[in-house]
Amino acid sequence: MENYLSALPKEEAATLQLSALYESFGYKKYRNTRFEEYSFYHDYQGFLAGEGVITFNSADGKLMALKPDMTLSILKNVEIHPDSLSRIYYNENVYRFQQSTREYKEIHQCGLEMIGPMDAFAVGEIVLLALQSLAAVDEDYVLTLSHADLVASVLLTLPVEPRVREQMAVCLQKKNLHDLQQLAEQAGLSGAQSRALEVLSDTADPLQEAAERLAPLKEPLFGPNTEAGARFLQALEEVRTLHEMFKDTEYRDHLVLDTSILNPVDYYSGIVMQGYVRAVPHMVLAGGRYDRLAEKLRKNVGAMGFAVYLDRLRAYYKTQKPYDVDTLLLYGTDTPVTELMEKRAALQKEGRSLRTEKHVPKGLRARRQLRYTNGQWEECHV
Amino acid sequence: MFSIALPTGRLAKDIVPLLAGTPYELPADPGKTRKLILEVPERGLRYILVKPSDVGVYVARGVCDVGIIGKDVLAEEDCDVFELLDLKTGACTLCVAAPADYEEDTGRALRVATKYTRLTREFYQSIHRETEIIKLHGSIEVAPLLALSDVIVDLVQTGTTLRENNLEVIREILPSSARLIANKASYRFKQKEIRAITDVLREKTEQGL
Repeated sequence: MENYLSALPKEEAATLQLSALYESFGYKKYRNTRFEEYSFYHDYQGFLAGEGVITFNSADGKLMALKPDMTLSILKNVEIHPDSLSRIYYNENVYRFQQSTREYKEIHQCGLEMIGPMDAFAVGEIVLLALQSLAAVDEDYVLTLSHADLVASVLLTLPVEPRVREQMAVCLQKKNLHDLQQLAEQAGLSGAQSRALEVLSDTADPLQEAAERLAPLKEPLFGPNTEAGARFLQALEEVRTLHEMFKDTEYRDHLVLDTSILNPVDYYSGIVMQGYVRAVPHMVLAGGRYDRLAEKLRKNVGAMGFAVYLDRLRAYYKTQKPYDVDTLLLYGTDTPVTELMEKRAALQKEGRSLRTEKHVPKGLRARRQLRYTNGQWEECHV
Repeated sequence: MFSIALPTGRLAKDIVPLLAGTPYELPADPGKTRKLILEVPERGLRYILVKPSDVGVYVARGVCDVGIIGKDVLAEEDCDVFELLDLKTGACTLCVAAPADYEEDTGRALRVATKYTRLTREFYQSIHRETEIIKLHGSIEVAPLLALSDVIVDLVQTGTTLRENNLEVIREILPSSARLIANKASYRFKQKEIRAITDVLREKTEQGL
């Protein structure tokens, strides 16, 4: 298997590895039609992070959409059992209109969803699979995570207009402390409130270290017995639980808590994640827990998942191989068919790629050439 | 190698003294050298000198780990990067300017000449004013003088060019200065290096260069 994988372009190899990984954890493959009625996606535009849906009219006049996302589709269509977890994975293309570049995009995603009565162990399983997915792509990887309520509870407790709160959220996403301080000053925030924003704008550390940095914000910011304070503490507790799960594993140094990850709290409700590999200058994995989206779809269950953006790997991993095939077998009209068949079988058994031809094809790069001459295979110059 | 994207042109003059005397001091004056890539192997640094409007692209696409860019360009290009520090240099303001005797005709769409089409559209949408935006690449000040547009949206530093063309600022849209930006993926893998350059430049900025 490893031989074949190394011969494939990264995107294809990763697709096979991820599918095998998810199957090994008992996830079932989900395949869906490419089209859905547009009205379904229209109601959940916020979940698609502002990216446009590509629409067209069906033969009977309905406004249809090319599927822009798998999570919504799975959550809507799969049968959910209230007492057990549904584990689903997919390997599909989704289609979006990118507002920034004004281009239609076909995005290749491989990902998974877990839907049902979620608990801490289930969340840990998803985080583990996200880590193993990144490790399958590249040995040098980082999974950054946060909790949807961590920053949201702080922002909601600040005495500012919703417009200013949104501006502050954008600053936090960009780690933009200077504009954040200016907004805090204009809004007349207290020292504790400004200090909290300062810490949130700069937290990107190992889980335990980050939790220790954030915990002291609770009392001066929220005071005792407030709902927002309880949400903040609960979010930190979930982060600490993940630290406990992974602190003695090989994944410990690949996990970072980064408070610039702000998924919309209308949909996300728990741990949120973004994954990176060193060779790719863009995020390659995104996901999180989205119980609130499930609730909007009138499915009162827990749900969590992630997608790996496989199309983003194409440009950054060289697929250029020194040879097209390992061996070129050159035969003539006098070569016995059985000799040819036997030689081919023997080379294939050794795991070598090969082509059989009468003449050297133009442009073909073979590591070596074997020609059938005088009743035997002889190496000849390439 | 740690790669830094720097803008050529006006902003470069402000950046040279900012980096001088720090571990990130440039090996040559970007205003004088014709080289577009400057390397300092002993410090593990590489500088890429590009058009100011391209700095964000080089950083967002990971060719450079960090870069220095004007806030005006950063906002116009809407680059997906971390904006780590206000370098408080190269200060100017994105403004609406018009001929000195200008009176707005509110009964029709306002014709606005600019190279900042995105910021202009967002600004006029925020005040619910219908506009016809005319994209220009330079010498924006000429547009209202030749009746190509009613007003312009452009960057104003001292106001001299406006005054010499009989124009005046009628509204300010966005204060701008140079910003240190970082690629989001680089931030995960070169966090130590990125925090180091941020700290050095913050200290330099707080000293007032």
